[in-house]
Amino acid sequence: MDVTEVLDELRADVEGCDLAAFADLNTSMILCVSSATRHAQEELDALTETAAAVLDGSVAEGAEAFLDGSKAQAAITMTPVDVRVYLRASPAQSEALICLCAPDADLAKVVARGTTTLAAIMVKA
Amino acid sequence: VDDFSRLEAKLARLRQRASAPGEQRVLRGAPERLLAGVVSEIDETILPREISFTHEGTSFSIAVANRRLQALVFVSLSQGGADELVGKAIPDAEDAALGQLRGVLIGVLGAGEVWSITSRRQSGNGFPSEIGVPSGPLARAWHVDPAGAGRANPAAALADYLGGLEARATAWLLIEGEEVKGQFGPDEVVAQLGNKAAVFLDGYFSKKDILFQGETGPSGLVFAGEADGSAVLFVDCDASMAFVMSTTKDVATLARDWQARVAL
Repeated sequence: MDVTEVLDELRADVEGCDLAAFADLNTSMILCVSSATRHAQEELDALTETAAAVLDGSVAEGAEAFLDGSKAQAAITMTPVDVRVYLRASPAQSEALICLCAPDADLAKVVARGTTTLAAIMVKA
Repeated sequence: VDDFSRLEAKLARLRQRASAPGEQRVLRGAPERLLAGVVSEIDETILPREISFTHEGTSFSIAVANRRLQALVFVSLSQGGADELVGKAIPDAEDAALGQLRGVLIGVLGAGEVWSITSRRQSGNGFPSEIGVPSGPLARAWHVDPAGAGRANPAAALADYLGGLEARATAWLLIEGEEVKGQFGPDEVVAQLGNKAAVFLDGYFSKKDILFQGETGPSGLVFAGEADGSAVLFVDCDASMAFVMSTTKDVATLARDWQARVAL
């Protein structure tokens, strides 16, 4: 099963997940994407920019104080129209998983399922 | 909520649905939350419709028109006198059947957490459009806030949300303008939370525009560390904001509960 199929499976399993993407935070690039609808490149670029900010950048650094000094493994941005879940493979790795979901998505499930998906992808990498 | 804001909210919701074609519309949550979702569906329905709610083998349908609940049309569970309510028009909020219907629906909605919604034209001649309980009096009679009602007054919704957290949070801090207006948790933890919040807000305000991609309205951020570590939920409603300390295990559920109050 290739990475796209793994992401497809994640979307099929998580209700309200419109997009799942595997990204590299160092280069701010989407490496692979699975989506129910077509997303413009600018939108994908914005997702990786936000991922880098909340998992690696100044916002993430500000959040470390809440996490006993450790890096965030998961970050979520929420608005009335959607939620975006950002998961990193490990503190030492730059790979991340991004999920774009409905505003009332089951966030605990997105995080749990996304974490296992990312682990599965990293084993293949 | 004026007519334009209702229209804008509706359009935003429709755009959200349009972005995921084929996705079934659903309500999620505990029975009280689901009942609020039912009231919201009524509030958004102008034309005469029969709206059905289904969870696996359990379902019920209601007749709705002109943003009024007109009658229970069908229920698959015989519960709490449901049979005598089916097909009986509810003329106004004073009708005793309204309270009985609340009990029936809460009982039925207890069958599951995820309910799909379908809508179709009312069969036959339906009910006269002036018959029924408008969504506002209905919400008051049933003691529910329509889902997403927090959009109208997010600051009040935030204060209410925090007040309901109790021991589900380790500590929280409510800030209105530049003043701390509320707090919960051990003094030492709350004091540290204030210091950490000041550090966090520097980075947050410098990147706020890219975090939410131009979306307006109440926004939130969650950060979680190791599996058994600490986590934080930050909510920004412009005039007021809050920091909620929790654990990695619980924070996603807390965040979802907040979203249930403001999601379109």
